[in-house]
Amino acid sequence: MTVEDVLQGYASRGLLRNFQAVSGDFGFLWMNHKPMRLQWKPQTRTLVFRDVAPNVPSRSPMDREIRAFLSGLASADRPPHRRVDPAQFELFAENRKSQVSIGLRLKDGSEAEAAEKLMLVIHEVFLMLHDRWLEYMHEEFGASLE
Amino acid sequence: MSNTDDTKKQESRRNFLKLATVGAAAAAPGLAEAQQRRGRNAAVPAAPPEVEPVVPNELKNFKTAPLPPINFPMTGANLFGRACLAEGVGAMFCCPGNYGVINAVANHGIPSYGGRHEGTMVSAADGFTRASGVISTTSGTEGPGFTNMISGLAAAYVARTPLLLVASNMRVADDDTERGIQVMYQQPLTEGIKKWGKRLITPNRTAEYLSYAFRQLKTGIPGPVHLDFTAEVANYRIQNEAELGYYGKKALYRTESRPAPSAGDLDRAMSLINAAQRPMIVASTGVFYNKAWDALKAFAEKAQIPVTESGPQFGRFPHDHPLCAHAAGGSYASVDLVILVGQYCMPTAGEFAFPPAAKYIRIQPEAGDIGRNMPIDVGIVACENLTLQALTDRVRGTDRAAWINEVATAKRAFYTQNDEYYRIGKGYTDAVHPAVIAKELGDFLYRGKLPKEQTTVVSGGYGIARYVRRCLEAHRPGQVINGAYQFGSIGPDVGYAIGAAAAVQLGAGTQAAHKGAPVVNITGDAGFGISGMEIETQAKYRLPVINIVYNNNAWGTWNTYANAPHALHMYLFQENVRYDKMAEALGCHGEYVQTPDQFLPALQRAYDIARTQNIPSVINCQAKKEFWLREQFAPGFLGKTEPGITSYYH
Repeated sequence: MTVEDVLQGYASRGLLRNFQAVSGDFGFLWMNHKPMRLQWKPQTRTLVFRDVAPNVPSRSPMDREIRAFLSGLASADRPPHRRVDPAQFELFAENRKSQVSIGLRLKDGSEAEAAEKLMLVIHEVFLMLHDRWLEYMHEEFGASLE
Repeated sequence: MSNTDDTKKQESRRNFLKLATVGAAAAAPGLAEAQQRRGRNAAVPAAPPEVEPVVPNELKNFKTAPLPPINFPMTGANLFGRACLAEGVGAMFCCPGNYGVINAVANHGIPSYGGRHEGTMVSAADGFTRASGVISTTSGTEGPGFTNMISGLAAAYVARTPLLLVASNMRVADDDTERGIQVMYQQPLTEGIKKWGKRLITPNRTAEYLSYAFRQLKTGIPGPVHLDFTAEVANYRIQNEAELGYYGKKALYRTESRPAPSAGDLDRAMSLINAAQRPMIVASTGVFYNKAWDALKAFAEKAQIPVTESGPQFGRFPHDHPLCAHAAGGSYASVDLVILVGQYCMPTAGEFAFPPAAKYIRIQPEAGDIGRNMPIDVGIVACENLTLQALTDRVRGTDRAAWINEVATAKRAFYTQNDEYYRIGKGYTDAVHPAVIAKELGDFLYRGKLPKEQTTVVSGGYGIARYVRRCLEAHRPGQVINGAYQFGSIGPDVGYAIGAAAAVQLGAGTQAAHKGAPVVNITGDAGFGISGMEIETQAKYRLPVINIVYNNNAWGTWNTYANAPHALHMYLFQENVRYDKMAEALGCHGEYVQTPDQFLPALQRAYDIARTQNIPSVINCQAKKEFWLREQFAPGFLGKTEPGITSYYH
């Protein structure tokens, strides 16, 4: 299974809308009305949700909290289905011009596993943002303030 | 006595008389200003003797008065009262107006409550039905009385509350004129916020349309019904039973039959359930209105599937049950199969915390809504109760110990976080932090001297709700009313509490075992400012409600605009407003709590007064708005996870 197979599966089930795939560059709508972009680079075996959290200043409290949250996902006390196993994947966040991208570099795991895992990671990141950064979610993603 | 003293006394008497001529509404500050304008320091008039609100004999004794005989020929209004009685309408909440109808309902012996504002009375009816599962009716007069009801109706609609809203209307003969006052069409204004509605204009078809109304209220996915009674219909005289045709007998115009699940649907559901490693049941609105809690428990226990809740009330599954996942939000992202039972208000992708790979089974009695917002893997169009029974028959016992342990770990983490919030909140000693109210209220209700399943709670407010609902528990159906559910109203909490307390007072539906117990209502100062006057209605009917007002001197969203001085003032109130004194003036007990250590004793006093005297209270908890600023006062304004204990959107 490829990354595209995994994403196409979600699109077929109706979870992703406006799904488009062009040479390892995938676009779709998922949890809100903002288009999301996922890149798969087979050369570096890297899968990245590009600019998934916009307008987060580098080294800001929110930036630090996102990184700490991602680090926690590799913790050994998490159940296997919720854990990003450091032996298989390196989970990373990049902040370029206040645009946070989140991705996985594959070590041992398959690209299909990586795609499933990264979808879950982004889902959990958004749960955390809804819980901790309500005003941000209101301003950037149109979440209800009330 | 000196001349000087006599002169002062005369001045004092003169001033008192001047004050009296201004009228009863003249206020002390106005007098002081008048004295200042006269340029002298006039003596303060003697205080009038203190008087307290009194419940008059007409209110004390009406329940013992005999009901008037109502026979044919009867008015359309009386026919409505008769139909409400036959269909088991549990209570009416109204304001004067629509006189024929409200008097008819009361004269049929249906418990009736008259309040101050039609909007709050709709909320009271909504609260009654959410707490009891018994349908209620609410009434207002034509024109402004009716338009006051619209917001409450919208909240009832999204909560899928089967309540019957009736309003009077002017004569059909005057349609499209402005003869007199209040001529208007009502039904277009409730478009999109009712399950069904009808402007009654054909007098001899009134019984037929009442049968439409009760079919809508009693079958399928519930929702409110709006009837407007034109004067011709309310006043029409029905000569005899024969004139009603078969519409006079409910067994002939509706059925108690419920759709059963098909074998094929059950097979498809079972194959997903058998394949799932980490399934979870979301027990929602349909479980409550179909009284499916026993079937739910039997299915969950046999299949070993954890249960969480969503919806406008909680308690369909006991919160201290080992399989309860209501407070285990941290485990939701592990779920691989979601079984939505009666989840009428459907979230979109990402709003429930279940992961993208989770599969969905959705069970509800109507097909029209299945597949809205979220893709489903198996849809079962059937009664929730019958479906859970059928699934219990088919499911095999499965060992899910690892999954149940993961859920239990998430629950412990949640409660540990609550304890940490309490520790931090208790450290703020110059005002009452919401974590203190939440934790100490929870301990008082569930871990103290009271039976944990006794007290019905209306969980309202905005920011305060995000703390308090974390500590609320429901051990039987209808024990917690999720006030702001889906519509997000700020203001109806006192109304919901009237309805919930009436249900408890009457022992209606799910409240039967706890008849007469005190009720707790949590609200904020913004909401209390909208409907607080209705505590007079609570006092009038001796509804023992303990109203906890979280008073942070601001609307809940103030912090978003903290750095916008030209806008900020719109979000703030005067500080230290004494809602407790207002309560005392309206015949309630008042408490003013300014420090954390004062809260629990005040709660105990209010509870004792509620229990022994049936007198409602207001506990005015003085907080400060800055508690929402996380960087200054951790943990600040809290977020939420859905479904489960912190949910109120879906």
